[in-house]
Amino acid sequence: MPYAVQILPRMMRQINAWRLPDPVLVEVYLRLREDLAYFPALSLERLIAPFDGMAYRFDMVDPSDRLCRHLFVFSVRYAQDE
Amino acid sequence: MATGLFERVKGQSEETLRSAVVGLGKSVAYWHRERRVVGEALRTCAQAFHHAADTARSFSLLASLPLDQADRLSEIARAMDHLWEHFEDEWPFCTPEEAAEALAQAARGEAMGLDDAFAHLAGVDKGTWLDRVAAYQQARPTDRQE
Repeated sequence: MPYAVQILPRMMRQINAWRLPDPVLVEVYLRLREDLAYFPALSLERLIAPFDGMAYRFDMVDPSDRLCRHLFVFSVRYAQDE
Repeated sequence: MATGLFERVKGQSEETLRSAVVGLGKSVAYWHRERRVVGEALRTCAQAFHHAADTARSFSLLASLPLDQADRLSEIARAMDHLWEHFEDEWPFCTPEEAAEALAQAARGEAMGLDDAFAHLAGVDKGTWLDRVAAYQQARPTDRQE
């Protein structure tokens, strides 16, 4: 059973500020929905700084510009809700 | 990916690892300082243009002189405001205070589900967003970069 990934208002503001092209935005959504939600133990890394918690990191080539590579690092709070 | 990280540090001496942690801490402190300095500079600059526009208008009223460029000053001030807001929003590292606030937001139940959040980000309703995702998946590249 997958984890329910939720987004905090600060993260919403940040993603919005990146002004990502549509395919990249969809890919970010899919990574969060598929990789992070189903395989958190494989996807997460322990961080000490700048955030004392977990991080989900991945990179991808922009489909509309193969010379552009996007690197994403999301701070993650990882807990059971039931 | 976590495994990859462990592979990279495996076999390093404790001294090297401690040194790496100290170096990382210094880098983060450096970037926090940079953010504060640049952020304050942008904010001060925006305030200066707002102040200059207000002063010019006041002077114009007092001296009963026409003023052509005050709107231009206000435009620059607003552009500086936007620049500062973008700088704050796009800065990649959160401060301890912002991390604490994010945890407080989570505790208050202010988080949004993934589907709703991304539909909102894309400016469409949830159904349209999920249709868009399904269409993308059909043509999704198979050479995903990890």
